Amino acid sequence: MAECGASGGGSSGDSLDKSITLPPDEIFRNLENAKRFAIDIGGSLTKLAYYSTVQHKVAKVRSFDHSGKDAEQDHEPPYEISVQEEITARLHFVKFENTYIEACLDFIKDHLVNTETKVIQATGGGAYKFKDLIEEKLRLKVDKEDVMTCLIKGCNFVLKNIPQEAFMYQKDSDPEFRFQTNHPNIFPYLLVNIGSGVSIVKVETEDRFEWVGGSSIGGGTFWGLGALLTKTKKFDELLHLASKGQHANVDMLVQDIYGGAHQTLGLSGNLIASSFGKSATADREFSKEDMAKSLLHMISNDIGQLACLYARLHCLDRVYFGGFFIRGHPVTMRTITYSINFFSKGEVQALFLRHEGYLGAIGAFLKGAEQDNPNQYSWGENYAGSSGLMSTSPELCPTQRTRSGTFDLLEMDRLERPLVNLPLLLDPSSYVPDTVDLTDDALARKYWLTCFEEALDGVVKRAVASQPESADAAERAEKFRQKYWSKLQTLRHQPFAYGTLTVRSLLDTREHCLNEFSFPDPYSKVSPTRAWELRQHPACRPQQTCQEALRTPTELGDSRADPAARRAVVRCEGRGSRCMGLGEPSLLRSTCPWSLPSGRGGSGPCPCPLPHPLAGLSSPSSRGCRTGFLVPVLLPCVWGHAVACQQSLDPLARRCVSSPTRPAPPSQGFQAKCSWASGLRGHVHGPDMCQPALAGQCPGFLSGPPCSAALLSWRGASGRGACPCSAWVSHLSTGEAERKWHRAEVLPGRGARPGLAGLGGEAAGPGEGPAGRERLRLGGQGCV
Amino acid sequence: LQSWGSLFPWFGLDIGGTLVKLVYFEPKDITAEEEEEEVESLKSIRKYLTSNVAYGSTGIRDVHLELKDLTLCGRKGNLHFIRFPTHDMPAFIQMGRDKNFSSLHTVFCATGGGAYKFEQDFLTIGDLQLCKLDELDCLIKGILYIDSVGFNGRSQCYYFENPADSEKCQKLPFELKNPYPLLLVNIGSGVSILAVYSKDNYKRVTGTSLGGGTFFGLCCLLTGCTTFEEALEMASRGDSTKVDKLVRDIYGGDYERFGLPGWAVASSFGNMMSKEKREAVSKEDLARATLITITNNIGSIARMCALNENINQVVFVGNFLRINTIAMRLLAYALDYWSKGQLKALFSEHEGYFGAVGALLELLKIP
Repeated sequence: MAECGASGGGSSGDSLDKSITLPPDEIFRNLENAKRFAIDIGGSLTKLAYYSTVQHKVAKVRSFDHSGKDAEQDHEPPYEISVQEEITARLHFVKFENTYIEACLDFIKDHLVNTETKVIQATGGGAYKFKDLIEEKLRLKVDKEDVMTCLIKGCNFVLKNIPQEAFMYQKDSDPEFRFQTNHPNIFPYLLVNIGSGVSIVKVETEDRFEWVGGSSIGGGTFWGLGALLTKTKKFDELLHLASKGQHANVDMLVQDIYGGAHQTLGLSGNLIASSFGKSATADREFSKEDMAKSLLHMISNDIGQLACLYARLHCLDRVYFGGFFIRGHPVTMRTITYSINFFSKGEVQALFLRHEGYLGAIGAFLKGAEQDNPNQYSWGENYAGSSGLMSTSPELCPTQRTRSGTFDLLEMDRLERPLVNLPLLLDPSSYVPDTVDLTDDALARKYWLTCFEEALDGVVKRAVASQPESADAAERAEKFRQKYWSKLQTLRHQPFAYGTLTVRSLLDTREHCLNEFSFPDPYSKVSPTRAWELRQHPACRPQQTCQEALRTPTELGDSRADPAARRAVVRCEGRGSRCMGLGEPSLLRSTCPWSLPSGRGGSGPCPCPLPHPLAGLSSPSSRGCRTGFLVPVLLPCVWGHAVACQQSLDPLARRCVSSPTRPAPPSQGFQAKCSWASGLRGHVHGPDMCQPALAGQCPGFLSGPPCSAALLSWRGASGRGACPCSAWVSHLSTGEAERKWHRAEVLPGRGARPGLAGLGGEAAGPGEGPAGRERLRLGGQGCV
Repeated sequence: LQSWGSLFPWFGLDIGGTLVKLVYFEPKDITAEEEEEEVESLKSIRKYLTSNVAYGSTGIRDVHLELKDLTLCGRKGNLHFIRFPTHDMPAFIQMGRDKNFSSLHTVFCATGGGAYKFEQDFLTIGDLQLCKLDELDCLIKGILYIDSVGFNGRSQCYYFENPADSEKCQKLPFELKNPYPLLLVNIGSGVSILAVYSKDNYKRVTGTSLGGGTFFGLCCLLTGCTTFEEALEMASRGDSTKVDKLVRDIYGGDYERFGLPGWAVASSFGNMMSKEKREAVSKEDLARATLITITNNIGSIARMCALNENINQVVFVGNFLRINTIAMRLLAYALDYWSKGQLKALFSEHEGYFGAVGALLELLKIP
C-alpha cells in the first residue's frame, strides 16, 4: 500500500481529496508487466490505459478417440485434464479524479519495470495541461491524439467487443436498464457527446465519421449556470440538488398558461412551455433544488431535441450518448431518455454505454497500438477485474463508493482470434441463449444469488482440492472467496452492473475470479469416467426445436468465402452420429471421438434431427461471420462432442460463445432456443460446475445428469423464462418451501443433490436411483 | 349590413404566458349619426385607449406600430397595438366590468393559452363571453394579413445585411412575394416552430421551452433585473465571451478538423465552471451571455427544422424580438453562417401582435 499525497485538492474540506491510499493489488494491477500507456484527461476525471501480459494456468482437456471401441465395455476415461501455463494479453483501464493524477503517476513510476515504452498517447482536454507533468514523472514522450477520433475509436471498440455494452434507461420501469444485443453491424450510428458543450457525430464506418453538428448548451452550461444560480460548486452536488427539486416551481408549464383547460385540448399540462418562465419576477425566492432541476430539464430536453433533429436529418435511429454530463448519472439518463422519446415519438432510441467514461482512453490506446491491428483479436470484459456500471455513483450506493474509493476499473482479456457469429444461426441478433433474465426477475435473482452464495464454500473446497501440490492453494482460494462474494453482493445491489444478469454471467464471474487466483479448473480432479457415465443418459436426446433457430445448409447461401469462418467450422463425424464443432481445425478430428456409444444413448445413427451441418461448410456464410462472437458453438446432440471441441476454447472464447439478445416478442408464442453456451460450459467444468447453468435453463433436470434436453429451453408466451418441464413451472408458481427444496438439490455440499453427487461420486441422491431417472426421462420428453 | 361580429368595439386579444397583446380598431369614419347613437361606454373606451399611450402602470400602447387609415370590413380607421403583462389580467377584467363592457353586446375574440385560463373570470367577473380561438390559426392569419397591408406604406418584412458587422449592418425591407413555404418561428415565453405551406396548410413542426421567458427568467435570477427592457439594456453593455467558453478557448483558434471557427461558442456559461471567472464577470456580461445562449439555440433548432422540412425562408416573430436588435442580428448571422448562405432570416415589424390581429380578423370573419 502506498500512501500518496495528491496534488491540488483545491479549497475543499473533504479529506478524501487530499490523500489517497492505493491498494496495488486492486488498482494498477500487473504494472510490472505493463507496456504501452495511454491517458485521457478530462475536466475532472483521468482515465489511464495500459497493456499487460498475464501469465496464468489454463486447464486443457485432451480427449481420446473411442472410435471402433465400445465405451460401455472398456470404461476408458473419455478425457484427461492437464494444466498448462499460458500468457495472455490484458488491457487495463483505471479511472480516477484529476486531483490524484500526480499521486498516480508517482505510483506508476515506482512500480513500472518495463522500460521499453517510450511514448504515451494522450487525449482529452486536460492532456495539454498535464503534458509536462506526465513527461517529467514517467519519462515518456506525450503524443497528443485528437479527442473525437479517440472517442469514436473507443466507442466502436466497446460496441464490438463487449456484450451488452449499450443500454436503454427507463427510470420507472423494472428493470431500469435494458441492455442491447450486440448487433453484428454497429454502423451507422449517431454519437452525442455531452462534455462542456455538445458534439454530434455521425459514425459510418470504422474510420469514417463526420461532425454533423453541436450545441453550446451542454454539461458546462449545467455546471456553470448551476454554480451561478445555486452557489453550488461541484457538478455532482448540482445533480444531487437537481434530483431533489421540483422544476414546476420555476418552469412555466402548459397548464400555467392554459389554466385547467389543457385536458380538453389534448395537451399534457405538464409540458414545459417556458424554462425558467416563472422566475421572471423580482418578488419571489426560488430554492436551489428547484432551479437545479429546472436547469437539468432545460439542458437535457434541448440536447434530446437537437439529437432527434440530427438523427432525422441523417436517417439514423440509434443515438449513443456519452460525456461527463451522462457519466452513468441516472438523473441525466432519465431526462435525456424522456426528451428523446418525446421529440422522436419513440422513433429514436437513446442508448447509453456501460464503459462510456473509458472511450477516450480506449481510443487513445488503440491509436498507439495501431501497428498491432486490434481487429485481429477479440476482447472480452474480465468481470473479476472490472468495477461494473455505476460503481462510483454516490446516489446509488454510498457505502460502495467509500469502499472502492474513487477509482473505477475495467479490464479486458484478449482472445488470439476474432470471434464470429455462428453461421448457422438464423438471426444472430435475436438469438437469446439465456432463458431467465435475472435483471428482470427479482425472485429468480434472489434465488440464484443465494444459490451461488451458498455454493461458494463447496467451490472453495474443490478449488483447494484441485491443487493438492500447491502450498498456497488455501490462501488463494480464500481470496477467491472474498472476491466472488463481494461480486455477488454488488450484483445484489446492482444486478445491472455487468449487463443483463443471468445464471451464465454469474458462472462467468465465478470463473474469472477463479482464474484470477490461478484456479483454472477446480474440477480437474473429478473422475472423468464418472462424469462420462452420467452423460450417457437416454434423456440426452436432442430436441427437434434446435432446428428452428438454425438455418438449413441451403440457407447458408453462396457467400461462404470467409476464411476465418471456414477455418472455424469443422466437421466432426462419429460413428453413426453427426455433430458440428467450431474451433481450431488442428484440435478436431475427421471422426468424432465422442460418438454416442451404442447401447447407451441409443445405437445406430445419432437421433439428432438436425440436417447434416456439414453440407456446404467448406464455405460458410460470410454474412454471419463478419463481426461479433460465437466461433465455438456446438450442437449438443451428443455430449462428448463438446468435450472434443472445447479443447480449443479458452475461457474468453467460451464466454463469447453466447451473444445474449433481446427476448423474442411474446407474440411469437413458444420459441425454442438452444443454449449453446451452457452446453459448452457443462462439458468444460463437468456437471458440478454446470449445474446452475443447466438449471437456469430448466431446473427439472437438476435431479438427474445434465443432458442435452436441458440445454433446450422454451420461452413461454408470457415472455418469462419457463420450461414446460413441470419442475420449473412449479418452482415459479410455488412458495418459499418449494424453492428451498429445489435449492437443496442444486447446491453443492448437501446430500440431496443427485446430479452433483453423481459426478463427485459422493452421495446417492434420488436422481441417481431409478425413480430419479424415470422422472428425468419424463421431463426430457416433456420438452420435446 | 353589419353582422353581430362587427359591432364596435373591435378587439382582438392574445393572452400569452407573459404578455397580453390587444389590438383595437379605432374607426375614423364615424358619421355624426353614429356618434349620436354611440353608447357612452363605447365612447369612453375609445377615448381612453386612443388618448393614452400608457394604461395603469404596466399597459403600453406601441404608438410606432399603429397602422393608419386601414380599411377593415368596409370601415376606415387606425389599428392600435397595446400590451400588458399577463399577471395584470385580473385588473383588465375588472376594468372591463367597471367600464360595463358587457352592455356592448360584443364578443371578445381571444387566443393564446390565457383565453382558456381566464375564460371563467371573464364570465363571472366581467360578465363577458369569450370566443376562444386557436393560437396557431390566429398567428398565421395575422401574419399573412399584416404582411398584405404593409406598414403605413412601408414593407412589413425586413432582413439584415452584414448582421455581424456593427458598422455595415443594415436593416433592409423584404418583400415576401412568394411566402410559401415558410418556416415561422414564434418566440414568446416559449418557442413554436411552424411550417406554412399555404394559407390554410400548415403544421407545427416542434417547439422549445427555451424562449423569451427563459431569457428574462434567467436574467432576473442572475442579475436581479425587473423588466425585459432592463435585461436587454444590460445585455447591450455586457460581454458574453467572459462567460461562455469559445472554441478558441479550448483549441487556441479554429478547430479545423470540424470546421469550427474560433469565435463559436463551445460551451455556454462554460467559463462559469471556474470560481475565479465567476467572480470576474459582471451582471451585464451574464445578461449578454443569457441572451446569446437562448438566441443561438433558437437559431440552431430553427435551422435544423428548415433543413428537415426543406424550407429556406425563416420568419422570426414574437415579443422576444421586440427592441432586441442583438438577438435579431445574431439570428440573421447564425442562420446565414451555418447554412452557408442557404437560409434567410426574416423579421417583421409587428413582432408579437400577429395572434391578436388574427383574433380580430376572426371577429370580423375576414378569411
